[in-house]
Order: sequence, then structure tokens, then C-alpha cells
Amino acid sequence: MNCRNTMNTDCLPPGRRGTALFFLKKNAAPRRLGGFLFCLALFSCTQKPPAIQPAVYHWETHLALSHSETAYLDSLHCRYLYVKFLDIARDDAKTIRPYALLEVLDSTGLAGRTVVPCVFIANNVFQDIPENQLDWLAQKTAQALHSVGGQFTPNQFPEIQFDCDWTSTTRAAFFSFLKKMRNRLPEHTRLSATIRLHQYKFPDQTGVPPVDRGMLMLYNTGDIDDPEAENSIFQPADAHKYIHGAAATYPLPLDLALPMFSWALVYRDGSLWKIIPEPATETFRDTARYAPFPAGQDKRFLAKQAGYLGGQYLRPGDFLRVENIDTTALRQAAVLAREIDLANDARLAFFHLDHAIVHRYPAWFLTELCETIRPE
Amino acid sequence: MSLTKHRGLNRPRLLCTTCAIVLFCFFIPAHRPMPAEKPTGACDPFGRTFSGYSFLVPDIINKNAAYAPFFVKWDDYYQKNYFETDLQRDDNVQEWIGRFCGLPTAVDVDYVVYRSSINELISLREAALQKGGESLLPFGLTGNTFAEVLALNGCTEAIDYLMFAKRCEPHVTAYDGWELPERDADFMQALIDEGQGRFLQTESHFFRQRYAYQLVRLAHYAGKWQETVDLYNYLLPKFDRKRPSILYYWTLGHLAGALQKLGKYPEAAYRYSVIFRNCPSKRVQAFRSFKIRTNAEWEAALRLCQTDAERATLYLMRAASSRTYTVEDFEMIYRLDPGNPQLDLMLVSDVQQLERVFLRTPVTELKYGTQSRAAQRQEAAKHLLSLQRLARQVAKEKKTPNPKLWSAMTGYLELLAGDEYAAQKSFALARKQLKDGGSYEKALLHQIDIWDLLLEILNLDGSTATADQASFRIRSYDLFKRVPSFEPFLQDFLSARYAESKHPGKAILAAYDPAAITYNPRMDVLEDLLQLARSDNPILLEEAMQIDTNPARIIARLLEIKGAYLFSMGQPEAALSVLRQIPAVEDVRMPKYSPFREIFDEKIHRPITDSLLLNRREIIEKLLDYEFRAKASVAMGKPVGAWYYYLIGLGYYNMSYFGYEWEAMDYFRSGYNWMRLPQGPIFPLRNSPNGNRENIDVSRALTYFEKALAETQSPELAARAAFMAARCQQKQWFCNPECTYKPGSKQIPILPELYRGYYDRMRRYANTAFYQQIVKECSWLRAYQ
Repeated sequence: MNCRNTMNTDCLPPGRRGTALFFLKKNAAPRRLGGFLFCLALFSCTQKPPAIQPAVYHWETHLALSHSETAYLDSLHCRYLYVKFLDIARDDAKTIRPYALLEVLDSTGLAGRTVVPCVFIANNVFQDIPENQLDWLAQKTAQALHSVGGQFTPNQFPEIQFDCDWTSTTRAAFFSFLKKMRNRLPEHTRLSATIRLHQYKFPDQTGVPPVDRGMLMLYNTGDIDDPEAENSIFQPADAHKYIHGAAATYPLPLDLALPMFSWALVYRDGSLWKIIPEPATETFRDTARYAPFPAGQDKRFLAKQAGYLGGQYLRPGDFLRVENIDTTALRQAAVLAREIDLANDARLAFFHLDHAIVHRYPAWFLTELCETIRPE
Repeated sequence: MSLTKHRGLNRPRLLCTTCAIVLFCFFIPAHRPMPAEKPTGACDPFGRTFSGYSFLVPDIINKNAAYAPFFVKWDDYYQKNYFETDLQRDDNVQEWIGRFCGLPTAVDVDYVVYRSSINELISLREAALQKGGESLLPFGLTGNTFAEVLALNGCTEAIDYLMFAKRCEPHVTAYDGWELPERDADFMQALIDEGQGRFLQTESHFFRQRYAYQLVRLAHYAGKWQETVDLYNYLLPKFDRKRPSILYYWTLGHLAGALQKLGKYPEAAYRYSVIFRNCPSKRVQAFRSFKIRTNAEWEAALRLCQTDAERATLYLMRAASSRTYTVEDFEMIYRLDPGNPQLDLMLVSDVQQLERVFLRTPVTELKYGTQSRAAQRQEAAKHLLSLQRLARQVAKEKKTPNPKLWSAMTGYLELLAGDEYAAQKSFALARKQLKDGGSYEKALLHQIDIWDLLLEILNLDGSTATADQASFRIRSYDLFKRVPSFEPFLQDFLSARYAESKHPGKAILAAYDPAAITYNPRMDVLEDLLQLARSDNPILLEEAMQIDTNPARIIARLLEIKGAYLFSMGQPEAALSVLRQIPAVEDVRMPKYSPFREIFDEKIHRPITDSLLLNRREIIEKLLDYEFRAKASVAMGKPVGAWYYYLIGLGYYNMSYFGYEWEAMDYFRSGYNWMRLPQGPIFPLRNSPNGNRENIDVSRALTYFEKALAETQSPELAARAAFMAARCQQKQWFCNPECTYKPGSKQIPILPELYRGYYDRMRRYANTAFYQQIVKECSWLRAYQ
């Protein structure tokens, strides 16, 4: 049975490495013990992996870091900025189109930071897409990256990231696209892709993208479509289900992304209708318009009157769930992240930078999260 | 190697497939109650989307209605006929043709306006300046009716405009979006300045309007928002707009865009609504750009409206941003503008949404993994009642353009509300109103035919055999075959009805592939099907005749499934009594296995060299015989008893999920479940209402190996039994939720002590020949010694 298997204690879960020592001590012959002591000595001379590098996502259409945002990034010693360059999706006529190409209005604050261009691609782009259109898409994407990148100085980027929640039906096309992109980008450019938790847990089923690096998104753990979900952004118990039982190592070196956003999910007729980003908390104190539901709740509301919120016209009876991630939950996420086999030079990227975040999470707290994941 | 195996249906391939088809054909779609375990979940990467069943036909509305794409969806109709059509270009060409009294053809106008080169236009101008110039047209314009009209009539004003527009075009063409636009603002400003001069020198109001459009557009594309507004205000009053022109709305669109950029959202929204109402070629853009952020902006936009019809359009655009409409939306628009043709479209769109909520059964939800939530149904039910009231009122008042549609739809709303009697009456009434009508009336009659057939399905009674007969009859209708939703809906509906009527077997076969009864068999399902197979059901026989003339084979097949299931549940005696009911003539056709061989690798395929092959009945008889012999031998102090225990353990292990003869107890095995054993024994499986049950429990095998160990005095047999017991414990560890090891990995984990006892015990047998052999083959054993 398992005749080709070889002994390797690397597969022990991180919390159980002490057991490996016990195992070897108990069973090793003197010659093995000598080898083990040699390894131990070698290990003690090896440097610890470097500290986790903080990074931040910029996910808006216009880039102009404010003074407070720049100061925030400086306090965080943030050297990496993941900047969304464009979205790619299908329009009503199912034509693939680029959206929201980034405009750099002010490059102040970018000096000394490495910009990682990001491209968000809707999953349906790769649905039933012919191979020749993938060539076209790769060519157009490269063209867009070149055009948007021209606003930066320098306009050479060491890494480019692709964000797509691929599924079993779109995997082949997405992976093929990535290969084509690699051929269209400068040779030294490193490709990375976002990895959802289910993709992390089931790599055999969902596949591993042909890139150099993965950014594991430790959020979106819940069902956004379920009005009764507690918090779809992050629930430690839900996240634990994905991390627990996953293979000890993922086939790609991994960075990690944690959520720092807030949104109000609007459910109409029992299903998700709209997402309103970053709603002001005081909005829901207007008891003439919103009623906590059930009473006493501070995150769930029923619209009592028709009216606009965040550009959306709400009707009486619309159900709203306000979701964010507090510092306790972020700490729990960081503790959980210790179980993930992150890359030696891993980055911890916070999604995403905006004026509200700067006030909600102090820079020292984010530094603390980096240290929690990998103590210095 | 494929991850999944389904050998049970392949072995006696002909027999099993035939029987399955017979069963399927006979019982026809129906289905079963809720599963023991939800087969799909948040982590299920195979989750499918289901958009619902629909029994509305596009012909009941004017599919060419320009508003239709915003309110109703019918497959890809609007993609092909609306979104992929360049309405703007077509409309513009028509306006040019109108201006020139219908003389030029559309193709020729299109060429001159959109495709001619600047040099061709220069030559055309020269021709227009000369008498008889039409004969001097450049080669590319020879024979072009539009160029001839321009040259013949000396229309230099038109040609000058076309030349100016041609120069503007590179600066105002919407870039394809894959690059940031690079506009030459200085040159664009120069064009604006030049254009203003030309505008003032132009006499024709037709061309003045077009110059105004070019200038406002240039300013807009140059990002000069205020200048856009100023130009609009300056130029628009300077030409006569009595003759309607699409150019006005195009220009208005650029004004609205600039106003929105300047933060004047109500002013922009109002103008977008005007465009949406009046200009089909810019309707999509207007709809997408329409934006109101606050209640105050909404009120301000309403105040800008000059007529109730304009107000109705604002309400309409606000309502259209939602999937569904409130009855208040309908009432407001109906009150302000009862003749508004969009009301019909809104009604149909709303009914499309209601179909999704109400035309579904528990089976539908089970099949597609989507649950309609109770709250959603409650809200939809309230809305449905309100909409029924409104539909009756509108049908009665006859103020809308198409009251017959509202009248017919009243019946369909009653059907959706579950009032089938009222629906039937309403359909009959609607039919009377539509007698001797034209083509639209025929379309509506066709729609009512469909709804009547749906009513017939909804009236099927799953508790009687008449449902089977009726469903065969319904399936034979041409109408049934022409509407794609009928077949899957009938399957789901019949299945739900059968399940309600305590026919779980028929329920499964109604909605799923016949193999579904084997994935995780249920006794009630099998009993129901056996009862049905034994009944003297003419439909069964009739259907069976098409495929097979021997219903006994169907019964044998069902007994075989039942026996295998009982066997897998650890009830060999019960299984044997079931399998013995299979008549000898069918028994010889049963698949055969060889579970008592010592195979120490982890393969799940039987080696092809077997000689001793037994069917399930024979295996059980053998097991029971071995047990008898073992007990007798032990009682009499004979050492052979331990060997019999060992053989029984071997048989059970080999027939488990982990053994090469797994299919003796199972019909379907998924290799993927290796990766999630702790979630078992029932695993999610597509197309199976109950998931897939795997025989991952090896405790019975372990018990027999332990008995063998306890009784044997032979170190060789003890080594064998201990090794197999170690394999059992290893598999039990794989099934433990605490296990993080992934089977198949090339790494060997440390087994917790609780699961390592027999590996440790193997050291006692280090001197046996078996140990010497197996330690070479098994890296796990080697690692643990």
C-alpha cells in the first residue's frame, strides 16, 4: 500500500510540529539521530522568514492620494500599492468591454512605493469564449495596461495581478488567458492572481492558475445572497472551515489579503438587489426612514419610507444589512492566517484604501496584524 | 483515471440499462421529498444557476417596441435585434433621406455620411459648384444617388457641413475603451471656434442644428463642461426646431452629460428622461446615465417636468432600476399617463418575475440548489394580489393601448396565485373577447392555449394512475413540445405531486435519471417502485414493450438494488432474503465479484485474473457460511476458525469504499470523496436528490480481523490480520474530522496513537515471512517501525 510514499514530516499541521520531534526521538536509530542533530544545528543557523510586508489595495477609478492617505501609508511603512487599472466585463449585449480605466489625477504619494496594476475580470467574460477571442482579449488587456500605465513614472511594473472568481466552467479559458498575457508582458513581469478561499481549499477541483504568485483573499466567507447570513465579509468560523482541511501547502507562493471595507447589502423581495459601499453609520439613526430589524439590532434595518440611499432608490420593506469588519474580527483573521503557509516574502494587503478606512483602522493596528501573522 | 466509477449500471450493461430506461420511460418524471442532506452548499463549486420556468410568449407584446429591452427579457432576442443594431446610424440616415425628399437610398446616404473620404467630399463639392456636375462625380461616388442629388442641386451647404463633421469625427468618436482617450483640446477648441462661424453663416436650419450638435459634442468630449452648457444655450435658440429631429435629443444628451459632471444631477436626470422617452437611438445611453442620488434631487427633477407624461417617464425610469415594480409604480404611471405603452411591458416583466417565484416546487429547489425564501414568497404573494387588483381595474377601464392583454393576464395572475378555477374562467372570458381577431389576437389566443395546458398540468393528481396516463397524453401535444419550459416543469411538478402522494419512487424517476435511485438508496423508494413494478399497470407494460418484454427483469433489478443496499447497511441476512427472491433466470444475469482476495495495494479495480466470481447472493451466503464455520471451529478448538474470520474481514474490507470490490455493495463511487471523507458517509452529488452514500465504515471488517487475531496461533496469520487491522484503522483516521492528511499525498503523517496500535503491533511479527514481504511494499508500515 502506498508503496511510493516517502517519509516527510512537513505535512504535519503547523500546530503539531512538536509531535514530529517526539516521533523522531522515539524511533530514530543513533545514525538518524546524528542526522537529525545536524539538521537541527543547520536549522538554528537559518534566518527566520522576513516580516510580512504591509500593502494596500486602491480600488477606485481616480487615483489621487490625499494628504491623510499618504501619511497613513507612510505610518504603515507601506511600500506596495495594488492599484486597479480597469475592470473587464460583459455588457447587456454580452460584448466584452473594459470599464473604469484608472485616471491618475495626482501622483503625489506614490514615490517610493511599488505599484502593482490589478485587472478585475468578471467571471462571465470567460464563459463560452472562443480561443481566438482570448487572444484578442489578451491583446486588448495588454493595450489597456500600457495605456493606463503610461500615467505612472516609472511605468514599468514588476508584478501584474488578475482578479477573477473563476469556476469550473471558466477555469480553462481564464488559465489560457493568463498564459497569453504572460507572452504579451515584459519577460521580467511577475504575474499574480487572486485566490478565493474555495479555490484555496479545493485546488484539485478548481485548478491552480498558471501564475507566479497568489493573493489569498481571506474574506467573502459568507453567502452574500442570503439575507439571513451573519456577515458575508468575514466570519471566523466560516473562514476556519476553508482553512481547516486544506492542503498544508498551496502550489503557489501566497500573499494574503484582509478586508477593510464596509457595505450595506440591500435585499428586495427576499434576494440581494444592490450593494451600497461605505454607507455613513449615522444614516441609519434616522428612525423615520429605517427601523432596526429585529428591534435592537444595529446592523440590520428595514426601510420604512421610500427614498434614496447611496444613489439607490429604496422602497419600504427593503431589508438592509450593514456589514463591516471590526478590529476583533481582523485580529481573529490574522490569528487564523497563521495556519496558512504564506510565502517567505509574503505581503499582507488590505482591501481597500479610502478616506473612511484611514480613520477606522489606525496604522499601528495594521502593523500589529502583520506581526500577529508572522511575529518578528 | 477517472475520479468516479459507476460500474453497477455497466456490468450487466444491457440488462441494467434496459431496465433503467424501461423504468424511466414508464414512471415518467416525478420525484421525491427532501433529501437527508442538502447536496449542494456554499462550498460546492458545481452550484448551478436556475432562472426559472416561463410560460409567456414574446408575441403578446410588440417585441419591436423600443422600450422592450428595458423591461422584458427573452433569451437573446434583444441582443440580436436591439443591442447589436446601430439605431443611431440608421435613424440619422433616415433623417438625411427625409431632408432630401426620399430621393437617395439608405445605402448611398450611409456611404456619403459615414464612409466617404475627405477627398471624395472635396471632389463632390467641386462637382456641386458646376452645372451638370453630377457627371463629374469622383469614382467612389459614381452612381451614388445621394451624391447625385447633392451635385445636381448644388448643395454646397450640405457638403461643407459633411466636410466639417468629417474633421470633427476623430476627436469625438467614442474610443473603444481599451485605452485612455487622448484628446487634442487645442485643436478641438479651434474646431469649435470655426464651427461657430460656420453655424452663423449657414442658412438652413437643418444644418444649423447639425453644426450645433457638432460643437456641443466637441465641447463635451473636450471635457469643457461649462462651455458645453454655454454653447447649448447659445446655439439652440438660433435655429427653428419645429421640424422634429433626432439631432435635438443627441445634443441634449451631451448637455445632460455636462450637467451631471457639473453636479447638476436633477437637471441632467430630467433631460435623460426626455431623451429616453423620445429618442430610441439614444435610449440605452440615457437609461444608463440616468442618476438621482437623493430625495431632494428627485423632487427637483420632478419639478422640471412640464407634463404628466414626462413625470410618468421619470417614475418609469426610477422603477426600471429594480427587478420588480411596486403596484404603486404602476398606479402612478397609469394615473399620470394611462396611454403609456411601457405599462404593458412593465406588466409582462413583472409577471416574468412572479413566474420565477410561484412556478417552482420543492423538487425544483432541490434540483437546482436554490431555495426560494419564505420571506420572498410572502412579499411576492402580497404583490401578486395587488397586481391582480390593478390588472382587473386596467382591463375594465380600457385606457391602456392594449386592454386585451391586461384582461388575459388577469387569468394568468390568478393561475400563479393558485386560483385555478378563477383562472380557467378568466381564460374562457378572454377567449370570447379575442374571437375573430387579427394577428395580435391570434398571438394572445396562442398564449392562452399555453396557459390552459399549464392548468391541465397543475390539475394532475399524483395519487392516481391517471396522472401517468395524463402526462403521456400531455407530452404528445405539439404545444407542449414547442414551449421549452413545459417538460422540465412537468417533471418537477409531477415529482412533487408523487412525493406528496406517498410515491417516493415514482417521484425520483419523474425528475431524475434512473441511476439516482442507486446513489443513496432509500427503502421507501425501492418499495414504491417494487410495488409499481408488481402491479398490473397497463401503462408500465405498454411502455415496457417498447424496450423490453420482460417486466420480471425490472423487478429483479430493483431487488438487486435493495439487496445491495441492505448488505451495505450491515444486514446480510435481510439482504440475502431479498436477493433470494430474484428468480433463477435473472439470478444468472447478476454481476459477479471476487471479494476474498488478499490485495494489499490501494487499487479500486479488481485484477482481471479472477477465477472465483460470485454474485451478491452468493457472496452473502459465503460470508454467512464462513461465520458459521468460524464459530464452530473456535468452539471446537480448531485453528482454522481464525482463518475464516480473516476471510470475512477481508471480504468486508474489499467491498468497502477502500477496496477493489467496492461495487459489490455500491453502485457509484466518487474518487473525489477521498478528499473529504470526514464529511461522509453521504456526500453531495449532482443529479441526486439524496447525495451519494459511500461505504466508508470499515469497523465491521476491523472486528473480524481482531477476532482472527484473537483466535489464531499462527504468527503468519496474525501478521496478516494485524496488517489488515492497521489498514482499517488508517482508513478510520482518514474519516476523522481531526485528520488533516489528504489521502493520495506523497507524505506520511503521524498517526495518532489511537489509530496506530496495529502498526505498532506488527513489530511482534517481524520474523514472519509476511512481514518481511509487506514491509518492503508498504512505506507506511516501514515508516512506523
